[in-house]
Amino acid sequence: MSLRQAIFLAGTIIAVGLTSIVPISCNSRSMEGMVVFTRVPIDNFDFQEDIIHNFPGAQIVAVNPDKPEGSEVILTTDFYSACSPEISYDAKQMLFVAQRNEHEPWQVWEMDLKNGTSKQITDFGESCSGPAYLPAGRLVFSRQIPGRGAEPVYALFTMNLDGSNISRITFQPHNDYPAGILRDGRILMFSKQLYPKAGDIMYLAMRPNGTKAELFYKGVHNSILHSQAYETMDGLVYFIEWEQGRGEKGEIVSVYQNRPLFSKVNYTSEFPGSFYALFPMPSGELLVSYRPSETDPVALYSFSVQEKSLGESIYNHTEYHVLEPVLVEAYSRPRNLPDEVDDKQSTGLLLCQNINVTATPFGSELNPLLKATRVELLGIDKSLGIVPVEEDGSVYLKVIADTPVRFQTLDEDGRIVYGPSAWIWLRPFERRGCVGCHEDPELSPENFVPLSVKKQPVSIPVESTQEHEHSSTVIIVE
Amino acid sequence: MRKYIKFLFIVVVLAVFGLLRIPVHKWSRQHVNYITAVDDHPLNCLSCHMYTQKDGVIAKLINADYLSPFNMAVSPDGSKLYVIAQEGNTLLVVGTETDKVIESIAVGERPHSVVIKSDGNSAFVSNQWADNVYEINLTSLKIVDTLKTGSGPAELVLSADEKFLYVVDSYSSEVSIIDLQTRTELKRLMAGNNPVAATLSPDRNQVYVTSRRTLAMPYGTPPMTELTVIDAATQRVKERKIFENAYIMENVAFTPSGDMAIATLIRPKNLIPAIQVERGWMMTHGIGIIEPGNDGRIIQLLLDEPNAYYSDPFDIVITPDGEKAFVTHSGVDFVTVIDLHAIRTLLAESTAEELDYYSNHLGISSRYVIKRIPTGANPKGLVLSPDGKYLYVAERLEDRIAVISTEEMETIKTIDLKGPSRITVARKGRRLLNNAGFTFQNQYACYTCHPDSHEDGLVYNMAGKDMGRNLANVQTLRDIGDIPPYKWNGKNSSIYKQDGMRFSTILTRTESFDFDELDALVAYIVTGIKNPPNLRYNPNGELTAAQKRGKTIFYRTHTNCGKEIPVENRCFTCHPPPFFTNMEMADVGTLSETDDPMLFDAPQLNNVYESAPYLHDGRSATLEELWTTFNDEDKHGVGNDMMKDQLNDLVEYLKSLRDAKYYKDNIETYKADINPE
Repeated sequence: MSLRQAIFLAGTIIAVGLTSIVPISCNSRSMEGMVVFTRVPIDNFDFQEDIIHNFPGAQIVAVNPDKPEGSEVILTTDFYSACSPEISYDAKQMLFVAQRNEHEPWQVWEMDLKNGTSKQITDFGESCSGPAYLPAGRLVFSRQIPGRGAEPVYALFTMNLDGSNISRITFQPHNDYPAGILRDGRILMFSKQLYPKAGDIMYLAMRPNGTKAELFYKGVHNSILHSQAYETMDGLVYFIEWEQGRGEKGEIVSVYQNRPLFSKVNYTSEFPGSFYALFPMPSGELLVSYRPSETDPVALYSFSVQEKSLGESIYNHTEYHVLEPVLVEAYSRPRNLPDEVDDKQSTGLLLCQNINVTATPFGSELNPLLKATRVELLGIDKSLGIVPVEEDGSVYLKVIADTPVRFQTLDEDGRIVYGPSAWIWLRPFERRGCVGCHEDPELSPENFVPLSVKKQPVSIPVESTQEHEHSSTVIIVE
Repeated sequence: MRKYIKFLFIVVVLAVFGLLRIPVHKWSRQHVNYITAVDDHPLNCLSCHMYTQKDGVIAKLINADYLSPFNMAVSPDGSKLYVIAQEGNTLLVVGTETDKVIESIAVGERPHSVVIKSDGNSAFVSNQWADNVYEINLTSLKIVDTLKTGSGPAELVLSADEKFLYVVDSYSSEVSIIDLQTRTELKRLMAGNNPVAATLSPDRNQVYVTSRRTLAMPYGTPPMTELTVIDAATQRVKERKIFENAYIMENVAFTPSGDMAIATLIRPKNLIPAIQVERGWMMTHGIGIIEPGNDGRIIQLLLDEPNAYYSDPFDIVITPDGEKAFVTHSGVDFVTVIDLHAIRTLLAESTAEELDYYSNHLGISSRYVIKRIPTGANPKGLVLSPDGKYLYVAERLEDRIAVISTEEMETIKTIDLKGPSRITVARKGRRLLNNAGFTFQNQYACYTCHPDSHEDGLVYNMAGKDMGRNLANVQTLRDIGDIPPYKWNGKNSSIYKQDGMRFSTILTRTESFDFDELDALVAYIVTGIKNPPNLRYNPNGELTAAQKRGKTIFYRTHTNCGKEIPVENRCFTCHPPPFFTNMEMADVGTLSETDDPMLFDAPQLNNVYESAPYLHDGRSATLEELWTTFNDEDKHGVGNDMMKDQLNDLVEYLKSLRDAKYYKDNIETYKADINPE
């Protein structure tokens, strides 16, 4: 082969290669740096009714924040409704929930952001919502399950991204909905008690296997937590709160992850309008969904936390509200927490160190502290038993797993000293400790050997008292 | 034909390699799976077989000699910083204007602390592994005298008139008082268990000495750690203050007015079943405050926060105006700034009952912690410039000093001490061992329960399947690389397995180490953790008469009555040199009702004198109790025939046991001990 022939052959090969690559490249796109959000038809927007954020007719849209005009791309044209975009750690995939057709249940989908193709992850007869990536190739989402009445309720589930290995992780009579993943690896969730009476929306934090659920943040009574919560690298967790008594508007607040219950900062108390969603940018600013007045649609803005000031509008539309903004950019993966749950087991173990440690630690001459000597466990419909506690106030229980229970403490005469508590549940083989009953959530345990753990745990339900009537003489009721 | 033979040879060689490749790969996979207890650890021969080399050329090439700055002192005019390089065995003289190391003075083995005389002309350096103190002329930068001390000299304090030097003897748990005029040790006072730090009160009348280990307590009672108060006038112990439920009191400082002495401490939760980390369930970290003017009242307050722990508080200094205290947290690489005015207010307005409550309160720190300043790896000693404007922080595993503005409360510069610039695999492992970032919410590091890579003297309720079961006496990490299995029940056949996935599930409760991290951690544990020399009981290998008699008992084959002791019941069967363990499981009659049925791994006995309490659940407070109290059936060696003086001799011999290298170097001698014929 002569040199000329060789050059010609090489050129031909390169040309053929390029012509085959070009169509592929045209099908792919880079979404890095784009802002993705949900836009909701103004007529379909009914904000305060529920914590579940599935908006009929909504679309997921991407825009270039530097050149929003003309860069708008609707990512979910194949769906009747789509919302709740969540970007993967490497910024290559996006989780969302969607309806193919109007009356179908909402399902979780994952989109390859490079080529726009979507694959369905869940396929249930009921709706799902609020998907979020977990480390190790799993996701968490909320799914409808039958409730006590006609209305369904939502519980949290996790599964692999290929749709396998589904696991329910919350079991309380609440509506539970993912609100974000903390950097320490825990799931943050909205949780609203439904039974025996409706409660306020709170943020609870728990491990991805559903263990060690605990209160993370709650506002004043009747406040509404509405947006996803995002933890930044400086340890602040930002979200939107509609605080009771401060007008009908959502405000940007943050809490310090290290001490969330007592570190709230409000950044927008002076703003006349209402905030609906936010997303922290690497620059330190926030992307926010803001509605200047009731007559305006919710639009996308930047917000300076330092200055407490709103930037220029990034995107707005007269026919849509702009909600749930997220930036397509890689971010650090939270910790992948180990899993102690053993599905072969049917119980979990609970140690309460001293049931007489409560939120009222100090008595007085006028109001001496009452001493409880027994603890009653309450199921959904009936008492699960009354257990005497040890002299040191400790009690050690073996509780049926994945079953909601509440506690109330009783004195010698069976009168309620404290309670009932909030609902808790134990996962199979979970071992959990409490310092007291409805105690100060910032209190760490005293260092002593609880007398109760020197014995075998008391099995719950207690057989002889399963049909025991609830104690009813209330001394102190939370 | 010859041409074909060559070709054939190549083909055969390739074929052999090809045929061997699959079985060799399979064997390697099985081997690595066995060692690591997982099936996906990379097949990397180097991580195990090179980075764990302790001696030889390869070990020299892959490792480096770091400086590891530890404690410091500053010259009276503030122009020089004197830095103890703990592993460089040097005292570094650093110019605070030039930020350069001016001089490196070789000192004794494992120096601990340095103190400067008020005229700035001489310094004293304690050599913790040499049982002496060097006096150094700071003009000539020469060592001018060596002062003998008790065992493990640590912190040094000069008396008000600088005629006496108080030396905290960390291993022998004493305080040596050295007369600097006669250059002799005047007396030794008993201190708490493993004392390390001391400070002179502002009125110069008292020396406070803090200790790290709890006093001997039976299981079920909380740790009690002593702060020893020495009357400087009489040079006698004036008071022994007990900090309940606290230990690892690494350092102590007085406010300039003397209204408070503040010590760093850890509040462990070893008596509670180890079932979770959330809510400070395993460890909390804080300060202990003594109010001398308030009947010596003791208060403990935490420096942690509800979802963030500041593990391993080490040093504390207080600004000359008495307004701020700075505390290093060597487990999380932070310095905490404490507002002492806020502390005073809290103490004044709180009842005793409330203050007791606050000692376990994770949110109370927001009342007095005003800043967390990040540092380099493993911050240890602190010292303030004489004017109080600058705070120097020894970043031990960075070979660096951070300089913090006490006004701005920010790091303004760092001083490179010019240690090795590369980070070796073992060094990376050491950083991991010292860092609490690998525990949920940073609650504790490996180091927390293994201070100085040893053990903390506590027994933890590890709560196997049930709570209240399987108590575990913490074991040392020193010199353990060659003596698998690990854990008392011997379930872990390697350090890889010990520190792998299950470790994260039941202990650290956060993401497990990745493979590189695990390799590094193993490399450090195998190569980098040595036993200190047993200078207290066996300084030069020459046994005392009692130790020699005890050694005869240890190696005996017949009882006092002449009856042959079954081989399996002789001391040296299970505890042969050089590690004094046969690495086998045994039943020594110590299984209790709260233990799951199991045999126990025979523990090594090197430096056993400093590992009280003993047995898997720590029930034996002393070596003697092993036979006087817990060996009714002669299952833990035949001992019931022994006379009291024989038992004393045996204990004396056991206390003389040194590091394994000593016995490896004298292997013939010990072979003869085992087989006298």
